[in-house]
Amino acid sequence: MTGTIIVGAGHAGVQAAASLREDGYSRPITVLDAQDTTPYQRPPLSKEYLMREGEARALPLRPASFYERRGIALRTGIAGTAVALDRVRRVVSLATGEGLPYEFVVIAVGARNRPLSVEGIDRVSTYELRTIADAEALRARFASMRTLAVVGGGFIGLELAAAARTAAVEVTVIEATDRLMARVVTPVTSEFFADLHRGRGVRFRFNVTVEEVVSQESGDLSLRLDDGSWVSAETVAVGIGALPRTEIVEAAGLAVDGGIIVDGQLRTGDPRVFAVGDCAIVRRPGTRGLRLESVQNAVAHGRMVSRSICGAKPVAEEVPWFWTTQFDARLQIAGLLAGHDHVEVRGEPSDGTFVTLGFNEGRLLGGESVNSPRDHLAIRRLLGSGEAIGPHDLSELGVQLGRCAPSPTEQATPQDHRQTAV
Amino acid sequence: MPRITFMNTHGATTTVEVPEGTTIKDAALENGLEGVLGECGGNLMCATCHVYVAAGWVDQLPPVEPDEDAMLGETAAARAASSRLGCQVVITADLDGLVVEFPSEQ
Repeated sequence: MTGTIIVGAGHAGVQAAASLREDGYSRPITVLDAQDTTPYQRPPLSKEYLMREGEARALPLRPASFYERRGIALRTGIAGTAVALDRVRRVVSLATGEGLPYEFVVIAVGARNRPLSVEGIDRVSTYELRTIADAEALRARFASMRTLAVVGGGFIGLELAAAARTAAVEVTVIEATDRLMARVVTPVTSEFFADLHRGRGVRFRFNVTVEEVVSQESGDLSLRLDDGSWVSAETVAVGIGALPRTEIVEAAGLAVDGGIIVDGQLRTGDPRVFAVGDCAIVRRPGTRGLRLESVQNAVAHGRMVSRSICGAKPVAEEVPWFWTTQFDARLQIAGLLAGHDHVEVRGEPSDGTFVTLGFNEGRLLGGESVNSPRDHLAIRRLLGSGEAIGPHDLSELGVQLGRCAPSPTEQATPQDHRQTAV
Repeated sequence: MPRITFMNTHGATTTVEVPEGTTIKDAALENGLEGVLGECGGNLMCATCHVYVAAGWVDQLPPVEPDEDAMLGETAAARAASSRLGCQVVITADLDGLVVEFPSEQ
C-alpha cells in the first residue's frame, strides 16, 4: 500500500508525520533525511548548545521511540537521501538506487546557508551553522578560540557572536548594511542589540562587505573588506542568510520562485506534491508569496499539510512569531513588520525591557518585545483576533510597561517576502 | 543525581536520574519520553512543555514567575493549580523524588 513520503526531517517534516497520525491517516508514512541522526531541534544549536561543556547532545524533536510507535518509517543517511521525484510514476528515488512509491509526497527539505562567494574562500576553511555537525565543529573550537570574525549581523551571526563572547573570545561582526538584523527588526531594536553587544565587548563593522579571504602564515585568516580595510581572526564564521532548497522539485518540473510555490493548502501545481517550512513560498491569490524561516512556521505547516492530505478542515492561520536570544536579552517578534510606516516604542530600551509596535497606515502589523514575554503574548493575541488594531486601541494591549513614548515616524523597511528567524 | 518520575496519561511511570541543573523539559526529552514537545527550546514562546506537578510537590518548587504565568494561559490541556512549564523548572538536589504528570495534549 502506498502512503505518504516526507522528504526532510526538520521541524516541518516531523510535525507533518506526527499530525498525519493524529489526524487519523492510516496509510504508511516514511520520513527521509540525509543526516544520519535522530531528527533534532535546531534553535539551541546557535545558543545553549555552543556553550555546553563536556558532552553535548542535540535535543530530539521527538524521542527515538516515537517513530516506531506511531508507525512512521524513519530512514536516515544514504538510505534516506532523496535524489529525484518522478511525478509520473509517483516514485521518490533514493541515493541507494531504490525507488519508493507514494500516494502523496511532502517536500520539507528546508534551506541551505547562503555561501560567501568571495576570492580565496575555497582555499580556507570557515564555519557556518545549520546542522548538528556544524554546531559540534564550532563548539569544539570554542575552548581554544581567541578571535572570531562573524560575517553577517543577522540572528545566527549575532547569536554566535554572543556565545563566543560569553566564552571570552574576541569577536568582530561584519555587516553589509547599516544596522543589525535589518531585514526583520525595527531600527530601535537593531540599536538596542548593537549597544548590548558593544557593552559586552563585541566589535562591529557596518556598511562593509568581504571581498577576499587570505590565509596568514600564523594560520589566522584575514578578510579584506570593500573599504580597503582588513579584519583578521583565528576563525571565521559565516551567517549571511539562507536559500530555499528547491532543486528536487524544480527538476520534477514544478514551479519555483524564491521557494517552492504552494497554495494556501501547501499544495504545489501537482495535487499529490506538497511543500512545507523553509523551502515553501505560500502564494495566496493576489500576493507575491510569503516564505518564512522559523520554527513556528515549520510546525504550523506540518499541521496544515496533514489536514490537506487528510481532506480535513484546515487549521486556522497562525500569527507568525520568531525569537532570538543574545546574552541576557530575549527578543520575541509577533507578526510581520516588513512594510511598517510608523513605530511606537513603549518602555525604555536602556532599561533592557521594551516593546515596539509597527504600523502600516495606522494598522498594527506586529510587535517586538525585549525581555517581556507577556507583552509578546498580548500582541500575538491581538493580531490573532483578526481585527484591525490601530494605535488608539493600544490601551487594550495589556502592555504593562507604563509610559507610552511614540517615536518619530520611520522610513518603511524595504518590502521583502522573506523573514528570517531561528 | 536527583531522580524524577514522569507519569503519562495512562498512569504509567518512568523514573530517571538527571544531573542537577537540568530542566524538567530537557529531562523528559533527553530520556526519550513522549509527553512534552518544547517546540521553542525553552524560550517561553510555545507552552508545549506543560506538566502537572504531583500533589505535595507544588510548594517545593520555585514559584511561577509572571512570564511563565502568562504562558500557562496558553496551554493546550487545561491549566491546573499544579501546572508548570517544564522549561522553567530546574531540577536541584532538593527536588530528588519529584513526580510530574504529562497532560493529555501539548
